[in-house]
Amino acid sequence: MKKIFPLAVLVFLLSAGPALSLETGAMMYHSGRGDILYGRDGNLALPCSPLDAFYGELKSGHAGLYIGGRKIIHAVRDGVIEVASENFITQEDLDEGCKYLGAKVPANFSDGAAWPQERKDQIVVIAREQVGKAYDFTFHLQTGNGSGDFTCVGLVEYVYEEVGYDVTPDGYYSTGAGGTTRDQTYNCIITAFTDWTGTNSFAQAAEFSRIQHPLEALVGREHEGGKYIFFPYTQYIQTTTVAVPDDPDTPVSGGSGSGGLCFLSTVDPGGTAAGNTGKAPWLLGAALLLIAAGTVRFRPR
Amino acid sequence: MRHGRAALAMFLCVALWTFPPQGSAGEDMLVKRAAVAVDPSVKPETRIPAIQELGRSGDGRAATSLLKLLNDPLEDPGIRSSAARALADLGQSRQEAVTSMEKAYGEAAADDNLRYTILLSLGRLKATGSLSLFREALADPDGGIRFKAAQALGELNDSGAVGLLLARYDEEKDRFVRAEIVRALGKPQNPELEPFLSRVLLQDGEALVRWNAALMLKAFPVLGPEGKAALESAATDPSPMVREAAGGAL
Repeated sequence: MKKIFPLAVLVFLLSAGPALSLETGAMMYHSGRGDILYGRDGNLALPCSPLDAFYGELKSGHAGLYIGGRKIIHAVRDGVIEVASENFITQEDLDEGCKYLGAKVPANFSDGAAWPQERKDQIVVIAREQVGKAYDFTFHLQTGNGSGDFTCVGLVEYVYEEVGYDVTPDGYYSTGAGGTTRDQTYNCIITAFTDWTGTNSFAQAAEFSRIQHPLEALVGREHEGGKYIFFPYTQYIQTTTVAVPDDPDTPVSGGSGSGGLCFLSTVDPGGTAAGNTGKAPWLLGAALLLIAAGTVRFRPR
Repeated sequence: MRHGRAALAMFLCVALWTFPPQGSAGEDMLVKRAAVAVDPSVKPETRIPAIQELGRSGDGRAATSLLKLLNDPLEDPGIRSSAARALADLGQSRQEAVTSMEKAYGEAAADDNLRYTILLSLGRLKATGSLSLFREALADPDGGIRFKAAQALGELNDSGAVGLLLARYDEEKDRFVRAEIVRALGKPQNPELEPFLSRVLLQDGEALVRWNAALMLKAFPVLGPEGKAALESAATDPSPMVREAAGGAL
């Protein structure tokens, strides 16, 4: 009897511990290549070169949804896709320094009255309905809004809003309380190698953060004359969600599928994409004039 | 002098590559986008936006490139999915698009997400002639395929599609697929389906399915007596989500 009692206590404690499996509906996050994450630790820097900024990765991380059965749904280059969970961070992105930040669920997710099983199941239904829709390469919508143009974090926000849970408050942040701002001076080919200073922001209290970039005419959601992006880290830090333990039975990295990166933007050079105001040719013209002027000055005597 | 000119020339090359001059009436742009879209040496993250733009161009000539991509079984599945989606966006060369989608769907090694996208695209194209493919998809062992088939059939919204969905509901064991069947049948707000949705709301064993039936019925602009009675009865449903959806003024 003396030996059986401690064993029974041990069995009870083990059975009463937190479930190790990743819960259906969990929101998953990882950093960008080089473990860079826009908004974290005061990093509000965007690349200047068009090759890096809009033909590359914005170093803003990634978000996806766990739908159970070791599967995720996320918005990536190929569109909204359903894949094995290990493709959340592909081996290629792991090798490039992307790091898993963890998974989160709504703060009241364990409250059975607020989140009965059917409400959690509805996350899967809504997410699966988006599978096969397009990725928003110009970030003109980001959260779908019926057209099916999603970024990674926009998809996660949309799905939760459809089941009645607003993870990140709606709204736009450009300055003042509720976020941070930082000036950034760009100097690259697109500014004709002259200084161009803009103010980038990172919202904590609202979905969309204002960016000012030499190529902002080509990307971002238009709002009151400015361009805005919903960054994954804004959603990640919301107090409406809480972290869940890592699940050793559900791999989240090492897959070989197509890119698990978000904010892989490629603007349409022709300037006809939605939200494109066609300012780029003017910028280019100005840049050419500056270069031409510089060439004249550099003429040897 | 030489350095200055070389710098200018280099800049112009990069600038022209980044922002090429617009051709007459967008024709050059269509050609350029098509060239980028079909070039396997270009990165997919550059090709896919070009494919998207071809789909949104409204220009029927874009279909040739898109069909070429979709028909190539050696092409990247993400590129093929994007081509299928773009063909649905374009809405032209409809019959060729449907035929190519059916063929790609039937490939033994077709990627799952390509199949999901094709089903969705066939639905958007209102491919009522593809019912045999949808019938097969509704019986697929993969619940994801059955789910997307149900969603696409809802887009078709014709009597053949409704018949397939109603028949599948009675057989379907997966609650997610059953829920999607209910949503597919409910979204068109067809009064003839009010009795079916009412029956689901009162009788389905899964709260998820009953909840979706209640959501669909509540969205009807005008409800008949059967729908109203079902919603009233659902006010005592064990699921709080069903009760909430069924509540309020009828």
